[in-house]
Amino acid sequence: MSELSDKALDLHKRLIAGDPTATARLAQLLFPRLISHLRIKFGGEHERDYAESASDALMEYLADPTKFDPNKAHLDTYLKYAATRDMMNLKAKVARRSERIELVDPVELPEPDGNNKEHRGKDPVLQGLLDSADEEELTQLVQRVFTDGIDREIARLIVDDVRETVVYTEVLGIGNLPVDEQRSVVKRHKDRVKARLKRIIGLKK
Amino acid sequence: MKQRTSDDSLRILVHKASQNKQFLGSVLANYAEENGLDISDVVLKIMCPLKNMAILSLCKVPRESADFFNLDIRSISDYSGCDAGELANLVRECRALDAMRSLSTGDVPNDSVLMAARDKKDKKKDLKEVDETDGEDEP
Repeated sequence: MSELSDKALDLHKRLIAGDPTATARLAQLLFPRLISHLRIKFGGEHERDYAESASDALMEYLADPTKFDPNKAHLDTYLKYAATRDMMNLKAKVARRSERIELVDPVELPEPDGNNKEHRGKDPVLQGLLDSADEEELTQLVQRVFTDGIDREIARLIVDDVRETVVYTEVLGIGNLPVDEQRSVVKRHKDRVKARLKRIIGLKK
Repeated sequence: MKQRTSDDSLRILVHKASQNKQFLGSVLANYAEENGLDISDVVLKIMCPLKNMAILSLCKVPRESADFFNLDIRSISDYSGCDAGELANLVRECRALDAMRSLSTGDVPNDSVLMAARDKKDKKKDLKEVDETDGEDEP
């Protein structure tokens, strides 16, 4: 374990034990790192968005540190993941607001026979399973089952009902491909992760 | 806070803390609003160096129970460099105001106000205890 992870874990324990300064100490230790992480991951000049996303991720954890399970990940990794997810959600929201992308799910492609009824809009089976699942349990399940980082991020996005192709494109790092190809790759990944989600949530019930 | 984080980024984090009742930032913000002050005035009132305003805001509000209140005040004071007695007064005053406000809107039972009132009465004794203790680590 790195020195940073050790420090963060120690402060996490102090936070759980009720030390009122642990929140500020954790913020001092991790907030700058979360911003740097987002800056590297997303590039460009979005300092305000980075600060918003890093703050949201950090505050959510600090307000309820029991959400984090030290046996499953390092705290810095956990928060980087949460900040990245918040950043992607924020980007998606901005994209929706500016109406630069389609409002309908652009990921769903028509079937070769032209019958795309089942692929239009939300997947009703998965949606039903997601709606009936406990949100906290679902988050932990995704964290546990999806060991591949990209799949896990895609699963989180599906659970959060993020539907914009551009967000998935960024997760997959395929922004350089032609748009049609991006859609097709994103759809393939989403379908696979959705199928797995259905299976694991179904088994859990 | 590390230099790599810009003041604007830090301001966003501190602002979020000021909107969450678990954090001392919300106490500072409420007191400032109630008294028509700027938050920096409140920070100076409790004799905290302005450069530590962010870390003070990001500390959690001291626990209410008598067993922990003084301990928490002391930890925050040692860490942020503020005056323990002034901080304790400020937190109590805000709690009493909060309780009165909640009572007037019918949100809480009467004993919350009684607790706040009782805290006020014991203030001198508690502050003496807080002042007598030494600091440990500075930020």
